[in-house]
Amino acid sequence: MATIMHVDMDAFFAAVEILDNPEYKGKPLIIGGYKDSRRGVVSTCSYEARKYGIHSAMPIVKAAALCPHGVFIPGRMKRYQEVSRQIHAIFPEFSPVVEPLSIDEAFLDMTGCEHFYDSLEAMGMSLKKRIKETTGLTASVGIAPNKFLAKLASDLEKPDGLTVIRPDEISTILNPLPVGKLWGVGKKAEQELNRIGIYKIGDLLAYSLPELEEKFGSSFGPHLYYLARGIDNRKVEPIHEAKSIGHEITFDEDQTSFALLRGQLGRLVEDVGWRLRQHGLYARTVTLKIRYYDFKTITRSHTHETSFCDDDTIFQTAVSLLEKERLRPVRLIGVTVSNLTETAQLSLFDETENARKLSAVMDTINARFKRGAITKGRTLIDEQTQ
Amino acid sequence: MHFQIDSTALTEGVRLVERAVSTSSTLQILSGIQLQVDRNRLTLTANNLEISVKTETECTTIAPGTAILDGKLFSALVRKLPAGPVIFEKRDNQVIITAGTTEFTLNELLGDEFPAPPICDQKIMSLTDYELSKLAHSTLFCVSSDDQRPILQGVLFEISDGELKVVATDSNRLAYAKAEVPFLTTDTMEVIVPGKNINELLRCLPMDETLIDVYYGENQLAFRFNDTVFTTRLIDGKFPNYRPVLYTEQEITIVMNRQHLLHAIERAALFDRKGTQPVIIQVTDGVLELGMQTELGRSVEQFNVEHTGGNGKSAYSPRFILDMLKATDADQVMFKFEPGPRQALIRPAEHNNHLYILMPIRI
Repeated sequence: MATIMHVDMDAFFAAVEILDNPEYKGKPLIIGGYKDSRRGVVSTCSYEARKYGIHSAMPIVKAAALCPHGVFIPGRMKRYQEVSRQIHAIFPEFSPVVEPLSIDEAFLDMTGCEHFYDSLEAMGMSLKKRIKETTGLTASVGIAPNKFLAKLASDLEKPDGLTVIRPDEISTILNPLPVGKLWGVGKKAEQELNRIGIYKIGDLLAYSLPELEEKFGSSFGPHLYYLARGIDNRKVEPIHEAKSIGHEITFDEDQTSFALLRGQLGRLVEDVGWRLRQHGLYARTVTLKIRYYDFKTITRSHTHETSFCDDDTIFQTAVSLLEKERLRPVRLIGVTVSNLTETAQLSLFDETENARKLSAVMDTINARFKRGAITKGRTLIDEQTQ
Repeated sequence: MHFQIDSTALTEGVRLVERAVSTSSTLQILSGIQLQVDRNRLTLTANNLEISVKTETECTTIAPGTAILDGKLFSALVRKLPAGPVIFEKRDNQVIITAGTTEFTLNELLGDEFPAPPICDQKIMSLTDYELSKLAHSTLFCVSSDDQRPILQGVLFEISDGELKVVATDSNRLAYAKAEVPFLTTDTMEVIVPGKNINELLRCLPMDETLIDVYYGENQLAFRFNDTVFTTRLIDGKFPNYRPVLYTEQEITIVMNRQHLLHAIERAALFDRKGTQPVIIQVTDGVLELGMQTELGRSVEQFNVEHTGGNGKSAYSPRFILDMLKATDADQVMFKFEPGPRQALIRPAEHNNHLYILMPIRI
């Protein structure tokens, strides 16, 4: 029998903001944009804000209507990533097999490690304590024989929860839950299930495997059949290598100025290049992404002969791809690098060596002070033109 | 226009010119093959502005004239004709082709004037098809495929010190081949020929010790052999200065059997499914060790080699080394390298007419 632990930070972005700004404590805090932002959506909100019916992915406009006195902030992704790194650095102390799910969530395969603790509860508490000591933040932990149940468990007593599901408790816990709690059952599927009288997970037990296959197909049918019985054989898979690194920005208003887009590319490139170099990686391909006002989205790529990690190569490639497009009003622009390698083929003519050194020096300065302490003039163009 | 020609001669002529038929639709006339008939000669021409090929062949002329036919259709039809005489007759804007009991009627391509091949009348040199082919095959594999760097998509043809030098580089590696050309009619020349056009030229060469006359003019290079003229556009710009790159003073030198090294690197490369992992080359007191480690596993091979200079190790792309070892037919190859960000050299052990330079991989 496997022992899987799922860790999920409680209202992560909001919790980091409250940690850094104690005056937000106890207030409805909404992260995703200022109150007058017309396009933003809620990325996280504090538990106080959830009482007003605000939830993530809700347009800011709607959240502002529900809770006009709430604290609305755009969020500081870099700070959240910094805390995320601290949290993810803790997991290997507990298990060698860690699958990071997102910035604030992970599966740990604890099979065999449970004997180091007095109980499964003590094991969960020990991780929660370690996270709290390191970051000052609370996490909810679920422990169960598989990934599906572990993730379900961590959600049962949020925030600051700790839930263990033992094999003999599976049916007691699962049966009364709504079917929407099953992994892979979204709103649409839930409505479909409700339509034929299946509301609770326990209701699914009345159906045989062939019956579910007939109703829901050979893939989703068995999925429902096994999950309803708490069976899930997915392994905890340690992170696959990063395949690409990218950043994008959605504009409050559609943009048509080439100079402004070029300046934005300069900023995005500094974020992309920074992450590339922080991971000690090199890339060979640059991809430019543009979403036009009508949501038509295009991507254009160029692959270089030699791998690179400097901002200049990324920027010049992205700009030359942008120059080839006949621009219509742009809603979103993004830059991604891919074809990542840990090793770099050196060039005979030393073309990017100076650019690489320059980027490294800028990184050192930005790391010592704060990101953006030193930047290239090209990233400032949009302010001059506005 | 009215003439008769043997299908074998016609097929050979069309095989040569069809390489210059344009496949893009921007200018329709460029997708045509031009037929010109005068006193007992048929001239076939195609010109896609990258390359043009013009070839002459004997025919029995009844009435001279000119026609332009769709190149793709015409060459496909000609290839399928039965052996024997073929008769062409133009009526109005159609050409009727009769071979035995087979008859086709092709509509002429009309409209624009067919672009005449550029005139290249400055004689540069003469060399045999074998010599030209060897120089090209020794270097072409290093041509860049990066369309943002058009100059590196070309091959440098340089005449200096009474020799022809051919150089190609994608900036990570460089191939250099030189030959003494017996019929040199100019002292210095530097032109950059698109690599893919050289590839097309190689497919047209008869490969029977035919002497090829090379001419320059109108920023084009023309290769004349038998009754054929192959003309290519040249790339504008300055080729990177390759001379400092031809560094040969590396600290470590080994000499070994080319096939042994080739097969060992091929085996190591099997572990490099992504094509990004380096092969580690280490030489210690006359023993060469090749190592490769990836997520699939690792390979280690050792060889006794002729070794001069110090001990040391460095890392290289196995693909680059394989390309270089395959481009030469030498029995023994010399591999010179040193640790650090310095280029390595691979060449035939017996002569230095072919030099391959490659940069290491930083690990």
